[in-house]
Amino acid sequence: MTDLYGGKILRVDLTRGEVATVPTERYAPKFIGGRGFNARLLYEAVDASTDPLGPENIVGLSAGPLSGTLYPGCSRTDVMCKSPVTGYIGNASMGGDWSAELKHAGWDAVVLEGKAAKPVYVAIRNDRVEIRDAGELWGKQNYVVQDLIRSELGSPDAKIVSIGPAGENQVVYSTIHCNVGNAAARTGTGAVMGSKNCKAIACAARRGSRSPTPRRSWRRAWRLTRRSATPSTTRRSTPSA
Amino acid sequence: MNENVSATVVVVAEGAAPSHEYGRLTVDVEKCTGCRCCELACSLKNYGECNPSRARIYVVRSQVDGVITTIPVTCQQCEDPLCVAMCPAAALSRSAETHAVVVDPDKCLGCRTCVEVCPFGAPAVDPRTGKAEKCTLCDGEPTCVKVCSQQALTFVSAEEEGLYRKRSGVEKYLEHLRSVAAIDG
Repeated sequence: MTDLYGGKILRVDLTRGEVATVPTERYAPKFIGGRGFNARLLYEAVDASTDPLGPENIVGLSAGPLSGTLYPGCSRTDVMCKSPVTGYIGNASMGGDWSAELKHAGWDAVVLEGKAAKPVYVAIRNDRVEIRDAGELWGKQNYVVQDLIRSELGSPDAKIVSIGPAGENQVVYSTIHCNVGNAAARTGTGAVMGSKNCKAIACAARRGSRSPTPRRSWRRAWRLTRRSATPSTTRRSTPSA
Repeated sequence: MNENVSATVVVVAEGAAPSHEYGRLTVDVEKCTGCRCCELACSLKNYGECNPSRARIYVVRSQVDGVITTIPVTCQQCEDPLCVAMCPAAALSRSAETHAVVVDPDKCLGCRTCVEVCPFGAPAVDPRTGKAEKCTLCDGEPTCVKVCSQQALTFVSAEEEGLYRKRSGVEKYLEHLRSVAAIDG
């Protein structure tokens, strides 16, 4: 199963403006991507005394092992942090294509730590990670921000998760949005991202998975893809190749 | 279903298929949801990995002001292909069976001339093989068509191409005529 992972977890220290890489192998045998990685990362980072809207809290955004493969319905991003609503574990998951893009860039998860001195956004282009100024983007709503980031990066295909003005102002039920209409809406994840002065995470990559996928596995994926979206009357037979 | 009815297929003429009896990969832009399964299936079929950068079909995606539109782009198998005309090594040729333009990897120099002259950017020089790679229609059974859950991609014969569009284009008009006919009794 480790073949299905991108192989790296990205830790973004917003306080110091530094990024670090952690090998996925540290978590992969014991924890299954997405929610599993996030739960472990959060467990290592926070304790009972951590202020959910303080710099000690983290936001973990993780892709599952099947994200970015042909398996249908697997491109979900799991978001976890200490919730400002409850003070306990806060977990939300969103659809959209961001987690597939993250996996294709070679990453399994992004962890936001600390708090930036001024508004920033994170741009991931394959192995190249930048923390860029988001002064112009602060205060703007999600769809506008995403259009602006795409043109700023010169990458019309970039997939973006972002927060709107509610997240910036730490409204405790605010969301993190992925593209259009996909939101990590539970437990106030947007407020925690806003408390870190992080406006968005953009990801643009077309690298693909690391290793060849077993043929048997993708035939099963084909079958599922067709069944999941085709009315039974027009269902075609399974491809033979 | 009436079980007494049986059908007999009568072959009235046999011989070599005329040259226009080949399949065409057609795109129904309105049906594409942008799931990009075609990209992944293409790279799986040809290289055994989920890697959109090696796929020979590419879903162009545009998001402006919260509205997403997607159009799959692949080789149009032009009737008068620029890539074939311009290839200095004569590595590109028309396949007799599928009518697809195919690359001979032994002749290909990886010079990128085909990439530059193609109006759709369909061929690409694969960074790993160093050879031009393009859609070959999977020997007449395109994989992308098989995995397209919305039937946005279809593989139809050259004679049938456009029939669906013609029919759907006048569907509203037909509906109107039917309703008028119903009123008139």
